[in-house]
Amino acid sequence: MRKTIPIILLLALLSCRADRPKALDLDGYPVDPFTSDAQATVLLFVQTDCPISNRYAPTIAALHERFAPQGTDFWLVYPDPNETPDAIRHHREEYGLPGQVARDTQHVLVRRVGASTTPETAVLGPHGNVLYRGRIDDRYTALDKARPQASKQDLADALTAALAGQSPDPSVTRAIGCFISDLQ
Amino acid sequence: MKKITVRRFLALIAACFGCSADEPREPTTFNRDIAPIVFEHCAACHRPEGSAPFSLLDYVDVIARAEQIAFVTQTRYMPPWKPKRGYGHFVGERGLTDEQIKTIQRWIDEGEQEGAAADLPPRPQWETDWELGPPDLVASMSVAYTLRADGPDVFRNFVIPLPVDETRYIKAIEFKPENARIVHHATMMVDRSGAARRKDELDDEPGFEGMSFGEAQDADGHFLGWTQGKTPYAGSDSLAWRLEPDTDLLLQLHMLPTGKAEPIQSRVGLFFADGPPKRRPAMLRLGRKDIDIPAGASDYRIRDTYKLPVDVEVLTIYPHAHYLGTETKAYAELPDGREQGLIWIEDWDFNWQDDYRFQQPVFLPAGTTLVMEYSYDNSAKNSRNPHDPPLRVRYGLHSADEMGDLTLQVLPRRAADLPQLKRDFYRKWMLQEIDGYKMLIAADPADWDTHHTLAMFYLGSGKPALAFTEFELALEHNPDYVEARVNYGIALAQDKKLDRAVTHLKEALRRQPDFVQAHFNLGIALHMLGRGEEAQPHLDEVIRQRPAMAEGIERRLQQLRR
Ligand code: HEC
Repeated sequence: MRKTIPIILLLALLSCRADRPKALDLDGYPVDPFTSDAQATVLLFVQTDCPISNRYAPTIAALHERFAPQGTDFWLVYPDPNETPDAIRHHREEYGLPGQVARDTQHVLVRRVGASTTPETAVLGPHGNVLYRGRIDDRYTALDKARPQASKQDLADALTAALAGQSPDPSVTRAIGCFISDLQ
Repeated sequence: MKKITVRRFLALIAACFGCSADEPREPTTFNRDIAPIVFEHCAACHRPEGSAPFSLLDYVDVIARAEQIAFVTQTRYMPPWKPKRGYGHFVGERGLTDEQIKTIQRWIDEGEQEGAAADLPPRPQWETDWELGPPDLVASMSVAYTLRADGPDVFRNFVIPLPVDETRYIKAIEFKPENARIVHHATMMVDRSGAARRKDELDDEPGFEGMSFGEAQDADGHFLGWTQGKTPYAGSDSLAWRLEPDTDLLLQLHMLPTGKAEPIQSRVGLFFADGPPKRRPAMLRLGRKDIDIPAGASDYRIRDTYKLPVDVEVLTIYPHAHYLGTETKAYAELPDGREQGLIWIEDWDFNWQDDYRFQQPVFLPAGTTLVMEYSYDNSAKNSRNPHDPPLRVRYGLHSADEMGDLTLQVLPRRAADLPQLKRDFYRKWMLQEIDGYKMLIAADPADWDTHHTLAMFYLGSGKPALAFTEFELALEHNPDYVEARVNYGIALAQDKKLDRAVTHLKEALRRQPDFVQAHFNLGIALHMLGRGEEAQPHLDEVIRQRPAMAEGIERRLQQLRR
């Protein structure tokens, strides 16, 4: 008797999972960055036509170059359901954006990490635990206020901590950019 | 296409409950309530050929950003317009009324409905090519420049030759960025000296960096500028500017990287007037060149004034500060004691600077005092601060230096007053320049070129003793600076210190034996000393090198004899 309950629960869980919406890759297959076994996984919420998000493309490429060889998985997450796979392919090429793509048309990943903005980032630990969420760096302090250069490299710092098995501090910051709540 | 989501559906129901009460109101819709706002106030920039990064023309465009639109309109970031309303009335003023801003929010709260197709006003149309019609002359950057993908703003100057074979008068100029997405602001000056062309040719890259215009000047007292969304000014025959053959346009672009490499090859269209202008405006530039802001100072202020000697009309006004600037204000104290506001930007943003044309020229009688008051924040709290941690910042032309200028384009009421106005203003300007060069020297005491320039300014304002000290310093730091030595010699001779003049002119020749200006001035100085025989070989040398100067020498000697 004691054994059957967990099995029923497990079945329920499995069937629930099958129905749950998923992020998709550019060919329409479900993807789940949370199942990555990398030491650290980065989600970058981006958009093809958000000016601040696009301005971060070179920063994203530089972070990829630095942290991918150290065992970090990079995911570009596109939360706008109106952005077609072709538009995304074109965008990646135009801006030289590296990493795997997740089209998060139903905002599964958005909700799971609590993202609200493009560009925004989340760093996941090896068990899919969210270690950091927020801005890439502190270049923007408002839509119309930017520093000439960033003074805090929040994402780089969070990744360095994550790769060393430590918890990033701060673990949450506020990102500046376009509103994901509009993208439905 | 965006679908009606659960959130919007719920909002729709809520909206229906709300409106069923006493006052039946139709729900706010895009076609009837929102489209007129975005067509009039946003679409000039937010359209496919516009300067903004996305369009706001269709329902789908607008619902894809609705909440952000509510946010940027409530914070008054969009539509961009910096001057305080009512404190000066300018052409092309932008802004939404409080009512319009509320309507946008209400539309979102009520579910972002599209509404009836019949309610949609016609979409605004824009000229696909030149807005002022076909130009008389089109010129462009000779090669495209590629703006880098990343990093801070770029200020770059491009030389555009203006090929005319006879003198022309230009009443209007239309600027086409030909990559509006990256240009925030363009300023054009006229270079008749060829200096910019030579500077550009120093390397293979198109154009050269920097915020300085070098030898280039404004176009006979006219601003030639462009900012995003600005309608080109049609100008008038009576206020045209002169364009001589062999003139270059120096185009300074303030560009913001977008995340990818961006090519740009701007064009300009020029529109000819029938003939020379009847009246000429003057540019009055107030400001401080002795700006010196301590690190951390959060409320550093400057002030400058100028009393008008003649009646004028102010046509255009252009405040200018860099990243530390927080507030720029200018007003006029009229002779009867009243105060007339000119422009007030309470939240200065370097990225949205512009020259503002008054809707009606502002008349200011002689005796009016123009006042400018600017504030700066050099603390770490100012996120635009180029230095982290903050550093002492002084006046200078680099974007990490600071400036505080207010340029007014004014038209004297009586055309005949122009020379008097210019003379009077020149004296004030000279003192301001002297302050500025003193600051530069304080920052770099060994800068021999600046010592020399300052010496020349002292001479120009009738202060020979101060000039002599600066000449000495220029030569102490660079004894081979023969131009400074010759100018020093001339200044000494004018001050009747002929022996010292001769010593310096001879020293210049010892260092550069063929320097024609030294030969000429030494010859003249020796004649003044009555040593004509000694003078002759030097004057002969001048004529050998420059036969055309023979006549001038003869005239000068005749003057001396008298
Ligand atoms: C003078 C041109 C101009 C006008 C008029 C204008 N915009 Fe913009 N807008 C821009 C530019 C340029 C940007 C991009 C800013 C940047 O590069 O970060 C922008 C950005 C935006 C953004 C995105 C903010 C961001 O930085 O991500 C929104 C939303 C927006 N505008 C809405 C509006 C609305 C609504 C209106 C009309 C009420 C409007 N704009 C009028 C030029 C304009």
